[in-house]
Amino acid sequence: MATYPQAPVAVHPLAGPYDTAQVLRRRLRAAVKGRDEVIDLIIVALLADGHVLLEDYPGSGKTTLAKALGESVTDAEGQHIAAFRRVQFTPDLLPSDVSGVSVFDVSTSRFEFRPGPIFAHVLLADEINRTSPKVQSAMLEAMAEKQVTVDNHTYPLDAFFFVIATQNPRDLAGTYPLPVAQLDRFLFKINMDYIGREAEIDVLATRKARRSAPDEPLVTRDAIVEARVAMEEHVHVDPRIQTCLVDAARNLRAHKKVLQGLSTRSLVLMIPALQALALLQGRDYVTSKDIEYLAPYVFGHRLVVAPGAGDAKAVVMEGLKGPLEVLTRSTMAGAVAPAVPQTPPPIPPQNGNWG
Amino acid sequence: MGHERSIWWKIPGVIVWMAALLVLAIDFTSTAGTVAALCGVAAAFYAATRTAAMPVRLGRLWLMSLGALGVIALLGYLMRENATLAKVFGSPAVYTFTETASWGIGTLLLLAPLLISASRYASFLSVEAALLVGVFASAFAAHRDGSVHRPYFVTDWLLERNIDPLPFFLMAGAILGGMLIVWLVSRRTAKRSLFDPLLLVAMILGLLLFLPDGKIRQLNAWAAAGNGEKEQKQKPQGGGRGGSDQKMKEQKQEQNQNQDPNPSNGSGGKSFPVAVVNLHDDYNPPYGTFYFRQDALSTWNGKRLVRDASGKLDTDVGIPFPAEAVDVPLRDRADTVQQAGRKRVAHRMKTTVALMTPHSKPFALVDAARFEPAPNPDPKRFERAYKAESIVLDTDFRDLLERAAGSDKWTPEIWTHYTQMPEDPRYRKIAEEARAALPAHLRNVTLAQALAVKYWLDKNTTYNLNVPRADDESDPVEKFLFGDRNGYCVHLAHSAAYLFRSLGLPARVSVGYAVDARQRGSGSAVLIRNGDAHAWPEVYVRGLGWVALDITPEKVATPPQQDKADPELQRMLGEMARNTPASPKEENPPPGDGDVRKAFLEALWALSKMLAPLVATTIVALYLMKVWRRLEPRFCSESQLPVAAYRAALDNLSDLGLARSFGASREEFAMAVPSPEFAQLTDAHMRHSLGAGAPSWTRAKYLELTRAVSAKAAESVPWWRRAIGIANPLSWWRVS
Repeated sequence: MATYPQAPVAVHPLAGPYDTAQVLRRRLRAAVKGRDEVIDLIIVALLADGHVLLEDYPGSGKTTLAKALGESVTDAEGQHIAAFRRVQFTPDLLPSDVSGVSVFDVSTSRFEFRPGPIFAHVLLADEINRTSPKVQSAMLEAMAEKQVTVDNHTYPLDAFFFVIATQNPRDLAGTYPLPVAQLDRFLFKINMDYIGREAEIDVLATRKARRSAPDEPLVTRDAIVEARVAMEEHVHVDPRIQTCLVDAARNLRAHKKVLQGLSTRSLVLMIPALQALALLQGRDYVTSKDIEYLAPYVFGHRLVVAPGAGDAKAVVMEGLKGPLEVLTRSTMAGAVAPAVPQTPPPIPPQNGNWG
Repeated sequence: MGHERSIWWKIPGVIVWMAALLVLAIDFTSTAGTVAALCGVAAAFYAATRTAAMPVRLGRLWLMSLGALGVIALLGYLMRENATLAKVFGSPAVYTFTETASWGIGTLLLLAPLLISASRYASFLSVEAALLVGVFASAFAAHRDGSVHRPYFVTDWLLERNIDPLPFFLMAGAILGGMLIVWLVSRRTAKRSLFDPLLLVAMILGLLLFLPDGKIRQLNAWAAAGNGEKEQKQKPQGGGRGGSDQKMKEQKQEQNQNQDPNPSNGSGGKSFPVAVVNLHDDYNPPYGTFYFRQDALSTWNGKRLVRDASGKLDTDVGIPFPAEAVDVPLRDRADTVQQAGRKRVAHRMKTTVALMTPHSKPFALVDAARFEPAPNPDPKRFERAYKAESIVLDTDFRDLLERAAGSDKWTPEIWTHYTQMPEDPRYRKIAEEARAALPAHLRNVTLAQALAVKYWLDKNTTYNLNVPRADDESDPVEKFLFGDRNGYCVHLAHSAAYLFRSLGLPARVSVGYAVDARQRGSGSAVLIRNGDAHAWPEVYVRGLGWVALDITPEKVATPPQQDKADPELQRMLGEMARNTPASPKEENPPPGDGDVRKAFLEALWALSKMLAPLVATTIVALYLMKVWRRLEPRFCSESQLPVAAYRAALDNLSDLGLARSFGASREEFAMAVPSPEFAQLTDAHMRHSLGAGAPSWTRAKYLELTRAVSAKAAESVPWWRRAIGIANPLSWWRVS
């Protein structure tokens, strides 16, 4: 993450949310070593009210991470919602196994709803691509609508509700890969690589210490929810930022390597993510750097690139470069929003298929 | 976009490029090399079509091509220099191989990247067009007025069939031009840019600048000739004349290749003056033509007559330009003293010759007796000048018939030399036939026999310029005399010389200029034009030396130079050569009359004088802007401080060579600069610009930060780099 010196938060309304984010960050960093970037992204997703899809291999610390996140949150109002649940998705899993089931209570002669594991603050959906589409779609409905429908009765989920789903990038036999429309529900798709050597040594060295809970205070659910509101209110998003996003999206839609471009929804989702990142870094405004940093995670899995065109993230960065430069240059012109419409860079003549 | 046109659209391009390569290669390499270059064009088009779809980087492509070209050139050089290879395969084979390889592969390596580049960027299309135009323009520049005569094999083929090559070449040019347009338009995908016309103009200016010196001089001489005789320039020329004239020149050049550059400076078909001769006395040659001899051909080399290489014979020619007065060694001098009761045979006369085009040797009115240097009356107009004293005949050949042929001072070897000829009985037969036409009492008069041959040739030949050139390697006579008897001066002169020799008369061919005596009019100046170049046969008359006996065919297929020299121009040039201005206005030669290149450079100089203040003002303005941007944080409004201070810091960094690269964010750049103060400034600037507002720092704080940034960043930069940055007036230009 950015290491350039950060100005202290001068604006009061964001002081609380900033502290909350920092506490969360410290707690997670204490629990999971060598995953600072993933931790930051997860906090950003949490603050932006999105969900995260981790693409990694077993044993990479995602459960630890999700569990640490769940354990960091307390329930101030004493609701009976679990902080953390984990569901291992298998082909024979049923929607009710996730959402819960209505059971006939003999004593009251009524059906009583037994909430499933989805009724938790943090849900780890392990190997989400191994389960059948109907379970996946039930999950995804819950993620999008923050509600569960069982027996035609809708049960709302908590506002905090945060899903960390995982899938194994290899070993794809017998899986149900998520279609793009469902991938769209995830704010981020994060590809995790093996952690660094030093970090790995650190993991082994701090094996014992990490078992006990860190000294940091817990974060309340309300603090997070409030942070979401405050962030949206007070982290400044300049009109030029939005212009830049739209121009980048238009660039990418016209890009010859792109089969399906970015949806408008993805741009809408991008704004709170940018704000969350700014907040996490102690800024009360969004800069071009935030866009540059988040774009691959947010746009990468929403883009369908032509076969053989390479990495979607590289394509995203390609389409982003021009609008970002325009944004950066515009700052010299003062705080006035630029009215200059950005034309996409010239596309070289297509002499054949790339592939 | 991306619409791939049919393969047929490429054919005009292939043809145009092949024509260009043909024009380019034919003068520089062998036939094999030319064919290889044409194959290279085809290969380049194939390669460009195949690789166009590949995502190859243009820079890399060009680098690879140029590198490979260098390797090929080096290999070719090494192979040519290698003695062993030449020994094993023979040097012609090695030469052919290296020429083929370097022209074929060279064409491929240069053309393919150009075609690929042009298919991606419109500006390369302009480069391609400019190259094509340049190639054709340079080919035509040497042969103005459309008198194209290369390649020879095409011209000769056409001439042999009595087809004028000019319309043929014009048609070929029109077809090529059309194809060029189709080729360029078919590929133009992007919109037309302003770059194209600019490039073409630059190309034309470049051509003018880099044309060889001689070409410009010719243009100059031509302009001088045309100046004052506009009506002549506008006079339409006969269809084949331009080419024919040119052809004669060419022929002469060829003829003299192993001996001497031709007397005239061969060039375009337009008639232009090459020299002006001032006669110091009034003189009209009895035979009606001023002959100016420059060289003589007398040695029979088994194929044709060439210049005597021994230096012992033909001593009346081959004298270099005089640095001091030199007498021409003549074996026989015509008697210039009038004998009592007899007609004067010859007299001495002085002339001054002023050359307007470069000549290798001086020429003089026959027979030259003495050369003297003379000052150049006008170096702008004349190449050089000299005086010549000649012994000119007052008698016609007909009056000399009683004289004997040859000299009594000659040894038998010299006799043999001047009577050597092909061992072909047909010459003797023709000569006898001519002799038979003489009246009986003259049949055994030696020189009357020569006259008879002349009359026979006059009667039985046709003057025709549209015949294949006589070259060094072939006998100009055999095909002419025993063929259709169509030919021009070279054929006629050689035939006459052979026939004279077959009768035992010593004869040779002289080369120089022949001007109709009537052209002189009442003035003293004789204007010699390029079209006056001539070759004529001569017979040695005892006591007189070489006497011209020119052939004038009765039948004329293509008339020789028919446009008359402008008497006004002749007079004017003659007066100039005498260094007496014709009129006051001539002291200042009219514009356009001078050296073209000089005029161009003068125009350039004038332009630069106009541009200099503009450039100076621009530089000063740039420096002022640079300074102002540094000082702006001191004077700007509070609200502008974050922008101004940040900009000043950026300018300072730019001076040190630190600049944000395209697409990088400001924060990224801030991390690359070794100064935490710059990060603070960046942050303040970003908060001011994209955030809710900048930190409320004082102006002093901003100034201090700005100073600290440059101080810290400068630590890691050598002093000379800083100096360059400070001196660079444009360092702030790209700061953004």
